[in-house]
Amino acid sequence: MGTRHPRVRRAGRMKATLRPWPEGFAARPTLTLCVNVRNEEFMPSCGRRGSLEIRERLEAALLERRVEVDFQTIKCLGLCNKGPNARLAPSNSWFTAIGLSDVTSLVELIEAELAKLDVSRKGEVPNGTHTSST
Amino acid sequence: MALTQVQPEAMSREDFLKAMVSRLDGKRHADYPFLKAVRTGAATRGQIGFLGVAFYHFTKVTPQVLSTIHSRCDDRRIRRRIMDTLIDEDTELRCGSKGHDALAMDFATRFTGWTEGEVENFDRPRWLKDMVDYRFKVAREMPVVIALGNSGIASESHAPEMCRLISDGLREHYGVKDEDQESWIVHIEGDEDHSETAFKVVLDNCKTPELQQMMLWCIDEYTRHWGNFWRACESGAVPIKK
Repeated sequence: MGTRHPRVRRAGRMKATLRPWPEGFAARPTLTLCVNVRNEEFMPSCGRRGSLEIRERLEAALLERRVEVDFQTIKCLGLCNKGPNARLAPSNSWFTAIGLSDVTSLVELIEAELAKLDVSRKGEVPNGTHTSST
Repeated sequence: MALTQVQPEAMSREDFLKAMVSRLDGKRHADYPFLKAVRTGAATRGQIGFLGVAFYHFTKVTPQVLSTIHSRCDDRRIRRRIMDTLIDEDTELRCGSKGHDALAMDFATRFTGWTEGEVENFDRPRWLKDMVDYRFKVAREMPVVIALGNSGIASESHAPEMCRLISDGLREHYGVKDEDQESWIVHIEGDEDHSETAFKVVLDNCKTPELQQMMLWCIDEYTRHWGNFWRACESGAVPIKK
């Protein structure tokens, strides 16, 4: 692990923008974490803000809790000023300013989003009652 | 193309905004069947390869279009906004791990199996040359504020939805990893800022009927070119080498 950048986000300041799953989505959702390390230290990049360490913890946590998501990395999600960033697809839900201490909360949020997807696939509304009248 | 009759008085800010937004109705990128075909997996790999190559040739001129507008702009504050967009488009410093032309090239080569030289030397069809010519013509000859609106409103304001549809379709139906389609993903949220900037600049500065009508004409004209783009993707295809 390289030298930590002074602006690494350690405190839990993560912001989540959660959006509904598209109707009829039947495949496995994808969680993508940005791991870009820009050469220029004066420009923001998720990797310099701690996402390389976040990746390790997040991958382990997803595995440990058997979260049914395809975990990927990318070199840029396009919101560098807000990083470290992750995106859940295809709901297009965003997690920005992720700190190392946010990993558990992030996994819990993803589990909650996947639970919503599971409910919608079963044709239920979140309180557990079926939308169908039959 | 229908030119709207010039009205004697300028529209209010609210009416002008409504007029611009309504001009986009039915002509946004996501309104075209090809986008839905990519999202649902109905498009062929050859069609998507064609999209990748054509999109590269569209994207590669964007920095020059922007810098043309920048060079003609007298307002330092607007120049700064253009500079921000130019940094996003043409460098690896922000919004993308490479310039957006390089990201578009990455997608085209990785999806088709073509070399960079093959993508670069692709024989551009007439409609694509016309589209590029139109972009440069607006950047060189139209008032700066109109040129900004042409990019930001007529095209980028509805690009995030386009990129989201393409990206989700590529991932779900064509096995494309996110790292191989950064070209689309960086625009899903990133273009929102460009679009907001363009709307604000246009609304703040287009206060004569002539400018307002010119802006509406550009929305009609650029969306017409985009219509050609999406229809060509539907009817076109390139050989996939991998």
